[in-house]
Amino acid sequence: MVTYVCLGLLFLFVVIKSANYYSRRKRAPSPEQLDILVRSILKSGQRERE
Amino acid sequence: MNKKLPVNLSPFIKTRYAYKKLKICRSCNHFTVLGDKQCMICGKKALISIDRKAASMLRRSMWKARLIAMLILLIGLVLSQSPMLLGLCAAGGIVLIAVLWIVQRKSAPAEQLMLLEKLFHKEANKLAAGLTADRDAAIAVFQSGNKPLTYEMLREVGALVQTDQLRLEQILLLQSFVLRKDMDLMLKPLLLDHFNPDLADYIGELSKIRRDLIKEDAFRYVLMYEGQILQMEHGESILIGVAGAAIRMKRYITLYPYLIIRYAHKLPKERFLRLYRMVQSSPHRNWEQLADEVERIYNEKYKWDEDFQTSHNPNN
Ligand SMILES: [Zn+2]
Repeated sequence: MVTYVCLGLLFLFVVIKSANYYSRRKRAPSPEQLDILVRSILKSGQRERE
Repeated sequence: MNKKLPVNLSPFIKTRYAYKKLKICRSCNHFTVLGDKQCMICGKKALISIDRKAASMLRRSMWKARLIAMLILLIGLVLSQSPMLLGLCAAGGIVLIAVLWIVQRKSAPAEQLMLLEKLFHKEANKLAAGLTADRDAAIAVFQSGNKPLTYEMLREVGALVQTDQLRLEQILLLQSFVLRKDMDLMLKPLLLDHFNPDLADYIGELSKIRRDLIKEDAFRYVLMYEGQILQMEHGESILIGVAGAAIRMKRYITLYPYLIIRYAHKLPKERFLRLYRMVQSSPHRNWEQLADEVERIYNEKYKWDEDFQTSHNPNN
């Protein structure tokens, strides 16, 4: 019985994890977006200093 | 004007994306674009590239998921009551973990970018502080008298921090050097959104040694502030140089004919010769006004010049 529960749990875990990865894959930023993000962080950082 | 310094500048190593210039300390999470291995803050030799950091974060997060899956499988195996169940559990578990592994491998590139985005958001203050420390380090080097190294450091910082102040500091340093053709120079990242005589001077110098660096943005800058540049001491020669640079490509001639028309009569002979030949060889282009002006100058100054009679392919 416990074995089935564990196997079911593992199945659920893998399915949820995979769905999670797939949805994150769609939301992932492009390297260009990361460039923009870093630049905007640094720009606002500079403005705070001034 | 101060005497210019002859210097050697090391080439700028360009990365495909600017953020890849970042390094991070494994020990204290200090961000920097300078330095090789040693961290400025904690002194440990723990600097790694941001990509390596992302890869290690990725490995950790993926192993976490795999370990949880393996733990569930292990519990199932330990608690299975018969060899048949044990076999079933092992086979099913291995298949499921393999599926997880494959999905993870496919998601790795996107996941790495996600983790970096999270890291930048989470450590935004540290990121800003790190680059500020880099700039301060450059200023300290300047105060110690090493101008070329200061420029090289500011150039690294400037790849990410795009403020007018940083651009201006780089322009001023460059203007204190004897610039040469073989130097790794740049213009586009240094263009300001207001008029600055040092920048105009720098563009003027580039028009003599690195015409290839003068592109659309630079032409636009010069045209926008033409009046102010003309009021500078050597303003006109800057504009003549830039007009000469526009003759490098037919595209620029088409885009900025009036700039060329205004300064064509003062172009050095070699530049005018090139313009003359380009206009001659492209009768189908709509350059009428320019062609008229070129014709007028030709008749006035070069009609009897031998170089203008022989025809060969212009280059440069
Ligand atoms: Zn450190």
